[in-house]
Amino acid sequence: MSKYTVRRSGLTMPIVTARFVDNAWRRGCDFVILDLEDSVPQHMKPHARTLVNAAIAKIARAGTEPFARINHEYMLADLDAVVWPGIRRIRYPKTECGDEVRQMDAIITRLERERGIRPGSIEIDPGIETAIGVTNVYEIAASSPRIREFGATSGGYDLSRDLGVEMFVDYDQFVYVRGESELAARALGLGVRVAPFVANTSGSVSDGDHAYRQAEAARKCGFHLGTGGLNPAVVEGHNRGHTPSDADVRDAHWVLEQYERVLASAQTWLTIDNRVIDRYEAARARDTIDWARACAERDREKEQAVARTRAALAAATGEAG
Amino acid sequence: MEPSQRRSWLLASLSHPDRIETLARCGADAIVLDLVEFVPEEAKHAARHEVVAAIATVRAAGAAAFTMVDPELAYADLHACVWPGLDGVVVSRVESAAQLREIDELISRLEHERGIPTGAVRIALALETARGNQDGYEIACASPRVSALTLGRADLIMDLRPEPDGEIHLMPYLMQRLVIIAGALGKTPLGAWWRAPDRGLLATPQNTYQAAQRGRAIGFKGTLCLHPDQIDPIHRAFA
Amino acid sequence: MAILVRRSNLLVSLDDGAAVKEAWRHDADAVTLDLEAVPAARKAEARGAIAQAIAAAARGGAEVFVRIDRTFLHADLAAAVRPGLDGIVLSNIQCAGEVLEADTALLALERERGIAVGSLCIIVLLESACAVWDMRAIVRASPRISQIGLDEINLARSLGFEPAPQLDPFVYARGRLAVEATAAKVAAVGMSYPLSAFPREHRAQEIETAATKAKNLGMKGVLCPFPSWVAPVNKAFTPSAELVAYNKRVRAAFAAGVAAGTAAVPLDGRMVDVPVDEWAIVVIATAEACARRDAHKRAALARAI
Repeated sequence: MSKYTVRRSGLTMPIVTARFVDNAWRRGCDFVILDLEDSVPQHMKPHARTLVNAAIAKIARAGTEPFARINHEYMLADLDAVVWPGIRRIRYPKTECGDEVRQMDAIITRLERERGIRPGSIEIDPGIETAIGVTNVYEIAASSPRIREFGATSGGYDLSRDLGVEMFVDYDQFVYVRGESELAARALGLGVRVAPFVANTSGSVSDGDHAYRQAEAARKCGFHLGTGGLNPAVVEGHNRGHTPSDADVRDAHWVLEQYERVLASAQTWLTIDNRVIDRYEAARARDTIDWARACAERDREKEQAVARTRAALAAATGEAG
Repeated sequence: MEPSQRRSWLLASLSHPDRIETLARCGADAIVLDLVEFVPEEAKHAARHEVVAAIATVRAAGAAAFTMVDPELAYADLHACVWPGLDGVVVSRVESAAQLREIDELISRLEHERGIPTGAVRIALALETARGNQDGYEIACASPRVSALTLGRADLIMDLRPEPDGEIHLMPYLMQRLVIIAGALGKTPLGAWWRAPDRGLLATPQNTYQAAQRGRAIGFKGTLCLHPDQIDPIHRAFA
Repeated sequence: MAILVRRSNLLVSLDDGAAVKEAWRHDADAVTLDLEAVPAARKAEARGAIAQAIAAAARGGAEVFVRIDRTFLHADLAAAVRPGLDGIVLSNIQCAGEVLEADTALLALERERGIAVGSLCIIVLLESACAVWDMRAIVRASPRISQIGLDEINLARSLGFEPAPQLDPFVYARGRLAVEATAAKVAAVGMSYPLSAFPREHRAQEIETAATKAKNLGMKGVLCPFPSWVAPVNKAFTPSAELVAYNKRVRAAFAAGVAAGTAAVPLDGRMVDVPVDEWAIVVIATAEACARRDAHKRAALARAI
């Protein structure tokens, strides 16, 4: 098994909108977040909870990882509705302190036991979406072993509202916020989900080109984990931007060949073609190669799952006809 | 010279003892005799034997003598380094206050055994890992010997790469945070604000001058460097 | 929704009689009479002039603050605290204890002088690295603290460097300010860089752009060293008619979406969901609060003229 969890692209969708959930398997994303929170009207929350168990299978049939986003205010009722076999990660929005996560961990642990889910397999993804959350970010990130990746994403709608700033400006408003979360995540050895600042002044959620540039910038910074999006138009850009190009892989092989020369010398580094080749560059090159391999493997896995699903659907249609 | 007035801190690998005299005479305010970054693992033992002579060479050239030590190898590194004439140590990749307290105690013992005035050996902390930065304030409080803070080669050690605008990811945040921590504790912040594609080993006098000027404009008082030809631009920028 | 409208706070030295006399004419939401800037030799005289200065500064409906010199905390407070004063500005706060000391002194004076207990606000300015690091304790030190900001000129000085206009040295400090203040339900104040560290008079459009940037970095108002900053700062911190109209469309689109069974609604290529609707409520309410504040100031001005 690869050392990487390949999560380049994802879509957050209201669990109550059937056509989104039913078509999610066609979108090619690595994960889908079934949303019970901000995209679901208050009066439909009880209905939303009844839909998750069935939706998990619909998402998973494309090899896509099913995640859920629950409501900050309804932790218990929502967890009861989303902790089912197949669910991989649960996002807890507007996390303010570690106690909230510990409480959530305890409830999930009980439900895993009751419902025959491998203990500890469901991840928690605490959202840092308020100023209070940022002030407690380290304590939150350290609050549960179920937290394996930590989102240093920022500039979200919630945090902007809390800080009272208009979004979609052409300068980076969240250097401090991102830095605090990312430093905490790195100090704890968690996977870092971060997007370097790439201006989006239109506020469009369906700009595939921006999605690509954003994902590519993240990959070039060494990040592998995607932050996901809201519109199917961004999926391809996120997948492509997060996957190393053939040229990147060739370059990485070249770097490793040159590093052999460093190892054969008595030096710790050499300058070759005006580039420094040292153990740091070699580590980056190895990472590029391994990551490219993991992406290819993940793509194969998804293609096979989609092919199986298509065949099953065709057979069902044939039988029906 | 007060630590806060040392502008240039030139690294000199103890793997190449023959070059140390030349480097010491290049005009750097401090020479950092390196046992960590540019000394391969198998060469460390031999390199430790060069320290005493190297300290004398550096002091004779009029520069302050520091050594860069690895906290995981602190016992061997400090036994090799803490001799009369040593101004201080740069502790690379430091991760915790407990680690630094141990280093402090070991230095105290060696000072006592080797006839060095108590507290004479200073510490410059290189916060080069995420853990070290996260706990940087507490670590800097862990020893009264700490006189300077730097991010050292954090960009490489933490694998921080360029963003689209040329800034090294996370470094602007880490640098400004370090300056605040240093200021809050009355320590000297050391560093230069590098941007891609310039990098330590490919630094030119021109981009060194710019990086040092940017560093000075956010509060750094001097910086570590790798090449003798960086000294003059650093001195000009931190003049 | 309690919205504090203190967009512009005009700073005038108590030493500058003409400026004090004219301060009410500039439409500032607040005027701060600066006692700290007055040379020691003239402090006594300046303290004697405070009562009249407060009355003069309030003529246009502005809140009135006095920036006191913490070296002379008790003497300055004794001179400044009187009916008509809205609060004090404390510079160079290093730790929470210093805020508490002022808080206690204010309480005693409120009791003594028939001012509602707890009514006087504190605006805190930070200018040292240890204050930036310990900001959490400072901002929570007293419920009187209504605003907190950085004095970037003195912060750079205390850190021993000269900033360069093209390189913002306080991204970290200002970001921390916005986050810690918001978490403590206190308003962060400050101008954006480089005007924050190099304040100068400038075209109104430039000031408005810079203040808008400050707002979008989480600031809720600006301490204005020049009267010419006041109008563009007020404008920058007042939601424009277009913004209000857009947010009314957001609210309508969201309501229609909810009625149709979804709380995620596309609008002009953007996505509207719960937090976007909540923000629209804030923008509209802020515009209304600003309009009320402006009407109050206009009425005061009409009476004064």
